[in-house]
Amino acid sequence: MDPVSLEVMKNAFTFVPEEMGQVLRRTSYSPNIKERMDASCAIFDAHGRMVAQAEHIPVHLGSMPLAIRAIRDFLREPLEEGDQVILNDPYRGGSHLNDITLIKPVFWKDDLVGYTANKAHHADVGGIAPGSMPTGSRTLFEEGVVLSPQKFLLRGRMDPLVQERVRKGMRDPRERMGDLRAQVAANNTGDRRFRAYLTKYGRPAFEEFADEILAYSERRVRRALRTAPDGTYDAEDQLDDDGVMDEPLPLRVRVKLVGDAVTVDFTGTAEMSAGNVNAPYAVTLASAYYVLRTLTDPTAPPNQGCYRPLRIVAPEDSLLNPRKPAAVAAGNVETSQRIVDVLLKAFAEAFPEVVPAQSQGTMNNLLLGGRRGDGEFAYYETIGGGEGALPFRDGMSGVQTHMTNTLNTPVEALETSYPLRVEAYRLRPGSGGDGRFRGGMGIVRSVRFLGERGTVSLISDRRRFPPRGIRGGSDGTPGRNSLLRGGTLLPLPSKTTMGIRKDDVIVVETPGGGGWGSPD
Amino acid sequence: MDAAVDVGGTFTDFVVMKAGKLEAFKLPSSPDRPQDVLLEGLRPLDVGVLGHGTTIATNAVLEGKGSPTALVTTEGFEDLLIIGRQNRPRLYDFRAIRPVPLVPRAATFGLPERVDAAGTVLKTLTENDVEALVPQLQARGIESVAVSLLFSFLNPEHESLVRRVLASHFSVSLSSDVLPEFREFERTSTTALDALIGPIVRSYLDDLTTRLSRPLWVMRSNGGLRLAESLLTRPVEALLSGPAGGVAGAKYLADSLGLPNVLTLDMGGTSTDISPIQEGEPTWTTEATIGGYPLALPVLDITTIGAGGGSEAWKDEGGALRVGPQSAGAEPGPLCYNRGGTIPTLTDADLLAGFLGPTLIGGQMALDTARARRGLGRLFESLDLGFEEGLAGVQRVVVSTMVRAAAVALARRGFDPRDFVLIAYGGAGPMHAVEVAREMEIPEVVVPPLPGAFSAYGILLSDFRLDYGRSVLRPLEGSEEAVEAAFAELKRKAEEELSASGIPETALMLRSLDLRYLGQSYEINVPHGENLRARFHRSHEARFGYASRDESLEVVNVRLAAVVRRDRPSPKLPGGKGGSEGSREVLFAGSRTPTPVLTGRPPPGTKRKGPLIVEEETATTVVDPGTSVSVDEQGCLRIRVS
Repeated sequence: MDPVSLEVMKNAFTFVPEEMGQVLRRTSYSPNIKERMDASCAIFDAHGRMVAQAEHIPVHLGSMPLAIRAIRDFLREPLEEGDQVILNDPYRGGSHLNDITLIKPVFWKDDLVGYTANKAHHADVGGIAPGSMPTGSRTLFEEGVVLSPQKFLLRGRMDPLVQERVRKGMRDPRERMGDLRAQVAANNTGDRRFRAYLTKYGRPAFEEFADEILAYSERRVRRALRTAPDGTYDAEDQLDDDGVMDEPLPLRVRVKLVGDAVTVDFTGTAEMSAGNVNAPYAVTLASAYYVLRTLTDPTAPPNQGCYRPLRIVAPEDSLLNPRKPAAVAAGNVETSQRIVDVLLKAFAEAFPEVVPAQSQGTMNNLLLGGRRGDGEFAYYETIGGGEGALPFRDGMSGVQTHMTNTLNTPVEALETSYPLRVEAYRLRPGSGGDGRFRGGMGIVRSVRFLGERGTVSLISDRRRFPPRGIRGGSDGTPGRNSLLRGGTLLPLPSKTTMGIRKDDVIVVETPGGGGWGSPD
Repeated sequence: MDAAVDVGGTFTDFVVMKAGKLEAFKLPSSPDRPQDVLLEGLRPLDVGVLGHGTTIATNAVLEGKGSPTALVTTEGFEDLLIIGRQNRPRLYDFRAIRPVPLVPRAATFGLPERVDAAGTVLKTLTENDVEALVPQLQARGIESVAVSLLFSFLNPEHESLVRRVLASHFSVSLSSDVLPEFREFERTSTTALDALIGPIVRSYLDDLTTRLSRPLWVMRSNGGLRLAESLLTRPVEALLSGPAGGVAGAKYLADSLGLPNVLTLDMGGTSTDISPIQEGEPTWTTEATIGGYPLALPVLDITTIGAGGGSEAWKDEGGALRVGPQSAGAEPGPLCYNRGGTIPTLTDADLLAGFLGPTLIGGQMALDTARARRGLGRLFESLDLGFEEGLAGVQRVVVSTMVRAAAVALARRGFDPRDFVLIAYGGAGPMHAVEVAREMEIPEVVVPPLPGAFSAYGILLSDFRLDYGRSVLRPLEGSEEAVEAAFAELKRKAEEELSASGIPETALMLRSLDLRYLGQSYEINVPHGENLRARFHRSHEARFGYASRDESLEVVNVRLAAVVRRDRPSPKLPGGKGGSEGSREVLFAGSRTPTPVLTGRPPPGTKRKGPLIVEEETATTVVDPGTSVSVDEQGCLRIRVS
C-alpha cells in the first residue's frame, strides 16, 4: 500500500474508536465513566488483531486483545449480526471484575469482518463490599459477579438472564444498566462507522490496510529498539504488601535486548498471593506493552503491530500469571504500576535519555459506600500523585501516571451525588524528590462521610517503599492513609476495608515522584 | 454606512456596506498597536454601526501576556488549577506536559469559608478575612483577581463579599458572574481567563471607543455582537472573536441561500477552522479550550485543525508521508516564497500541481517554482514516490486530515454529511474544498464573495446578542416555577443591558434549557416550549443512537439569549464583471489536464463545467473535472460535486 493511502485510511479508521469514546462518555450514568472516562475503545479485524484504539486507559487497551481471543476460545454459539458479547472474567479475557468488556462482531455482506469493543470500569459489580474491590478478598467470587464470555445482546435483544444477573448481583442496578446501555450504544456507533468505511474502501483494501498499519507500527518500534545497546538487564522492585500478610512481595525481571527484539522474563517474581494483588496475565501484558511504547515510539499508531517485537515470560501460578480463582481486584490497579516500575528500572541503562525516576507507583483507590435513602450507593475514585522527574524536565504534580489516566470527579459533582464532603484537595508540599529535575508532588485528599454507617476500602501502595530517584536524584515521599475520627488521627494500612460512621474523615496523602540527577 | 473590521495576524480586513453595496480592503496589521490600523482604515469613512473582531484576548492567553493575576478560592483547594482534572495530556509520550497554570500557585489564596451542595453556608466568610488579602495582593503587584469559591453558583454571597472588599483596589472577576455553573475546575479556569485578559481587553476597548467617539460592537465567541461597554464586565467573551465572524457570515449566507445545513471550512496559512450549522442554527459547545485551558462558556463549536497552506510535508520514522501540524506560516513561509523557508509545504505542492498560479495577490508577489520543485523532489525521492504521485499525495494527506476532523465534528452531534453543504473561505479553503466535499460525500460547495475577508463580512451582518445563564440542577418534573423564576431574572438582566445599550428595536428573547437524563453528566440544550421532553429524547437519539423515554429528566441550566436582528438588505457585491481568461496544466487524478483560468469572479448567471480555476486577489477556487460551477444571484460560486 502506498504511503499516502496508508495515511488516509489511518485517519479514517482512527476516527472509529474516537467516536465510540464520545458516545460512551456522553451517555453513561456513573461519574466513574462520564466524569472520569475510566473506559476505553478499540476496533479489531476479523483475525482479532487490534487495528486502532483511542487514547484512553493503558491498562484497558493493552488487555483488550485477550478479550477478543477469549470469545473465540470460550464462546460456544456462533456470532450473529446484532449480537454483543459481555465479559469480565479476568481468566477469560478480562482484567478485574469491575472492568466489563462489550464486544460487537461487525458483519459486512454476511461476513464477519472485525469487532468493535469497549471496556468500562463499573463502580460496583457486587461481591462482599461496595465498589467490588474488597481488601481482604481471597477468591475471585468474593469480588463480584463473574461473567464468562456470553451474549448480552442476541440479534439486538438483551438476554433476560444476563440482565437478571446484573440487576440482582450488583449494587445500584439502575446505574449499571445505564452504563451498559451506553457501552452498547458505543459499539453500535463504531459498527456503523466501520461498515460505512468498508463500503467506501472495499474489503480487500481494508485487509491490506490492516496488514500494512500493523507492519508500519512494528517498523517504527523496531527502529527505536535498534538504537538501544544489546544486553541483558536485571531489576527488582516490590509491593509493600498484599493486604493479607504484612510483608513485601518482590517483582523480578530480566530484560534481554537483541537487535530489534526484546524479551522480558519475570521468573523469580513472588508466588501467587493469598490476597488480591495478583495481576492476571492480561494485566501483565498490558503493563509491558505500555513500557515498550513509552520507551520506543510513543507516537506510532497504536495497534497490535507495536507489540510484535516483544516476548513476555510470566511463570504460571505467580503474582503475574495467577490461576483461577485467585483474587485479582488490586492486580489491575496496583501491581500493574509496579510492573511498569520494575521494567523501567531494567531499561534504565538501555534508554538513559527517556527513563524517568519512579512515579507515585499506585492508583490510590478509594471506595466509599453505604446506605442512602432507600438504596445503597458505591463511589469509586483513584487519586493522582507525583510523576517521577524525567531526564529533561521536572515531574508533574497531582497527576495520574503510567497505567491510568482517569479524570477526577469534580468536588461539586461528587457532593451533589453522594453523602460525602471533600474537606481538602491540594498538593503535598515537599513530597517530590529533589534532583537536577524534581519529582512531582503528591496530593492530599480528605473526604468526610456524611451518611450514618458505611464502608471504606482503600487499596494503595508505596506507603512503605518510596518512589525511587534515579541518577543521584532523591526519593519521593511515600504515601500515607489516615482516619480522622473525633479529633484523633489514626493511621491506616496501605490496604484496608473497614466500617465508618458519620463525620469520619478519610485522609489520603499520595506519594511524590522521585528526582532525576544530583541537584547542583 | 455600516462597517466591520477583523484584525488578524497578518492583515486587518475592512468590509463596508455603502448604499447596499459591499466594498472590502486590507491593511497590514500592527501586532503592538492593532487599534491604530483600525482607526487609520476608518478615518476617511463615515460609519454608522461598527462591528469589530479582535484577536487581542486570544493572543494574550496564547502568548502568556495576561495581566498580573491572583486567584482567590476556598481554603484547601488552592491547587485546583495545577491539578486540573488530574489527567496528563498524552498517554505514552513523556515529552507532553500540561500547560503552566493560568495563575501561579504563589498568587493563589485560600479563604476560610465553605458552602455545601445545597447552597447552605457551612463556614461563614468575614470581611476581615478578605481585607487581610489586600496587602498580600498589593505586595505581589497584582492587578486582577479571579474569585472562584466552591458552590458559588448556588450561593454567591461569599464571592460578592470578596468583590465588595477588593473592587476598590483591583479588577475583580467572580465565577458566579462569569460562569454560574458546576464543575469547579472548568469554572475556575474560565474565571481566571476572564481576570487575566480583563485589564488588557478593557484598556484596548476604552482606548478604541474614546478615539472612535461612536458606539463599537464587538464580535463574541458565540457569534453575536455586544456593545463594547457591556463587554467590559465580561471580557472573557472577547476570546475566539475572530473565527466567530466567519461562522456568523456563513449562517446569514446559508439563510439567504435557503440552505439549512452547512459546514464551514475556513482554511488559512497555518490552520483550518470548521464548524457545523444545522437547521439554520450554529452549533455550540461548553467544552472549548484555548491554549489547553478550558473555556466552559457556550461558544460556537469551532474545531481547529493544524493544516493550512503553510503546513510542512515530511517523512516520519515509519516511512509515511505526513503534512503538518508544524507550519512554516508566512515567515519564513513555503519554499516558493523564497524567504528562507527550508521545508516543503502544501502551498509548494499546490503551486507545482497547478492549483496555484505563479503569482499571488493579483500579481504583486512572484513564486519561486524551481525552489519548490527541488525541495519536494528530495522529499518524494526519500519516500520512493514519483513526483506527480507525491504532489497529489501531499494534497490527499491534508484533505484526509481535514476530513477526519470534520467527520468527528459532525458525528459528535449525529449529523450526516450528505445533508450538508460546504461553505469554503479563507485564503486556501476554496482550493481544496471540492476534494474535502467529495471525500465526505457532501454534494455541494459554496464559495462566497470576498472569500479572503469573509470573517469581516460575517461581522458586518451579525445580530446583536446578549446571553445569560443560571444553574438550576433539579428534576424537570415539578420545576416549572423555579424555571420560570430563573427566566424572569435573566430577562430582567437582559432588559437592563438592552436599555443601557440604546438599541431601539425590541429584542427576541430565546429561552432554552440544558437537559439530561437524571444521572448523566452531559447536557443537551433544548429550546424551551412545547414538547420539551419529546424534543430532548429526539436529539439524544440523534446524537447517541438511543433514547430512554421512561427515564426522568433533569434541568441543569436555564439559558436566555436576547437577540436583536440586524437589517440585512441583500447586498450588491463587488466584482462580478468577469475578467480575462487564460489556461494552464493542472494535476487532477494523476494526469495533467489543460484547465481554463479565470481572473476575477465571473458575473451571476455564468455556468461552467470543470476543470476550471477562478483566481481572485485573496483566494483561488479549484473546480475539479467532473464537477460544474454556476454563479448565483448573490455572486456565490456554487459547485456541484455529485
